[in-house]
Amino acid sequence: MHAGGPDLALRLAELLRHDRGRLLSALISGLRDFELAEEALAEAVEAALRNWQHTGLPDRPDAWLLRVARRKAMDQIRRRGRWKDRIPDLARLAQADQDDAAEPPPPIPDERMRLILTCCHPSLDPKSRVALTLRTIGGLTTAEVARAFVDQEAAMAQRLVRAKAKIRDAGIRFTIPEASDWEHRFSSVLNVVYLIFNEGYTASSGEAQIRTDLCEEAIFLARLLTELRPAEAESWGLLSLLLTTHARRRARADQAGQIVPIATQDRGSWDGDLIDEGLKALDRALVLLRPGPLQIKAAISALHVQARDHTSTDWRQMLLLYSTLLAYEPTDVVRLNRAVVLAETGALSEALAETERLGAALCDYQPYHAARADLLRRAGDLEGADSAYRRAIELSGTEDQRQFLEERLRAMMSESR
Amino acid sequence: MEFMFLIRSGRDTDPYRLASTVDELGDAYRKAAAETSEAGTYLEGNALKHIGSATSLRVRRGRREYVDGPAADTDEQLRGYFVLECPDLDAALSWAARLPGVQHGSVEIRPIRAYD
Repeated sequence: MHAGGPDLALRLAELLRHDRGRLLSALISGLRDFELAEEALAEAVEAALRNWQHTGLPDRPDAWLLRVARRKAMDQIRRRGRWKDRIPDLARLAQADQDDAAEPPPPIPDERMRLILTCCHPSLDPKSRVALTLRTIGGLTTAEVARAFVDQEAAMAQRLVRAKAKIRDAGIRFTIPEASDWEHRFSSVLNVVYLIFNEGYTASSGEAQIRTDLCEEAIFLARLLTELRPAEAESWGLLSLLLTTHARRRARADQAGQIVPIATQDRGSWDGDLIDEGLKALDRALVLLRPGPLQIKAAISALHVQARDHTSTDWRQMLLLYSTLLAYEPTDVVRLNRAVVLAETGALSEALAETERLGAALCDYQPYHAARADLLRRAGDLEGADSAYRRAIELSGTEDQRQFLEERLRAMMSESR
Repeated sequence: MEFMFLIRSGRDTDPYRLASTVDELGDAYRKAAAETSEAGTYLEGNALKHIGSATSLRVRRGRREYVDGPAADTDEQLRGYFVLECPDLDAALSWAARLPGVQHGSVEIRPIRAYD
């Protein structure tokens, strides 16, 4: 094997991780065909692995890949019958090829916004939107995406194939949506990025490293969205929320891997740089004067990270924010979270009354019982707290959650003696 | 691209079970046909008669098997359809959101296959 072999493969992998989204977008833009673009890029990568062994890395490896991929695509189009229909495409590709032959090669246009919008089209299954975004923009391999969902690689590959077929056959265009559709389409993108982060954050299954990678992937995408659409306030809101949440990750579990709630977290271990960036992002959002739920959630998270400790958190301000959030998301989960904050402001009995009202709707929701148990304990109703803890333990999805609650129950029982 | 819009709704929202809504439905379809015609997108559209008027047929081993009613006894049944010419799925979705039945039932959007 050539001496530059493994090193070359590594550098190429790094390049792809960084540039695959941009390259793919530029190709799809010209080819109007997802599958063809991916195949062409894959062929170009193979060619790079072969050629660069001898010639070394070119000055602009990304331009090299794009040029070769385009030519591979043109070959493919000619090989497939009915290429007469594709003459306009071929002409366009040939022109692009000419333009790129200039020295130095022009920068590759950033068509990633179109690509993300396409991958996140609401007509695709939410899981498929996430998988496709991770694969094409995020630069994850199919195997990595499969691991993130704890799926078999073959099943994930199938899902991706079906999603791309849907894009091809259902009339989803690779284009910036009309103004009348923008709201639906862009909020789907934000939702997908949020889901990716959540997938990493909730750590219900899978290896810890994958979970962190997903969070960082989501942050990468959120940053990209603010770069591509700096006038969208909710993009900045999303970025801020993800940054200030991710900043606290090291404190969420102790040495033994046990859950540590925010009240007792070691705030010194919170990532100051991420917090700073997160707070700046929130400022960027607010000056745009286009409020939205992500900005409100970001503001809530910001209140947590700006507090020196749990008791000095601005709970009254947070209560206001939750009330405002309810206007956008009138859900029982938001009402529950608001009730918890209500208790922190000192209105414990009011908070308890609120949770009682939510009892029927949230009877199978684990965090409901966990929150209620805590409130009942503080109100001195140990019997009520006991059954709530037990119910929460029953409903717990992970060992971590179960252990945490059992410990809380044990502590409460021993205190009462 | 040509798209077919298949409009379905459930038993509870079967317009023919409530005589008063039959006319409303007819009006809604006529309105949708007019709007889509004006926009140059309309190709075809019809309300179907009530599901009691349906007959389904299968032929197995040369023998006819009849079903008195729709082919499958599902919650939502076909009530009508449109065929529209739309530039892409987003445009089709915009129209679908305005069709009769979408508020209480569903609209399935299927691209029509183009043969050369």
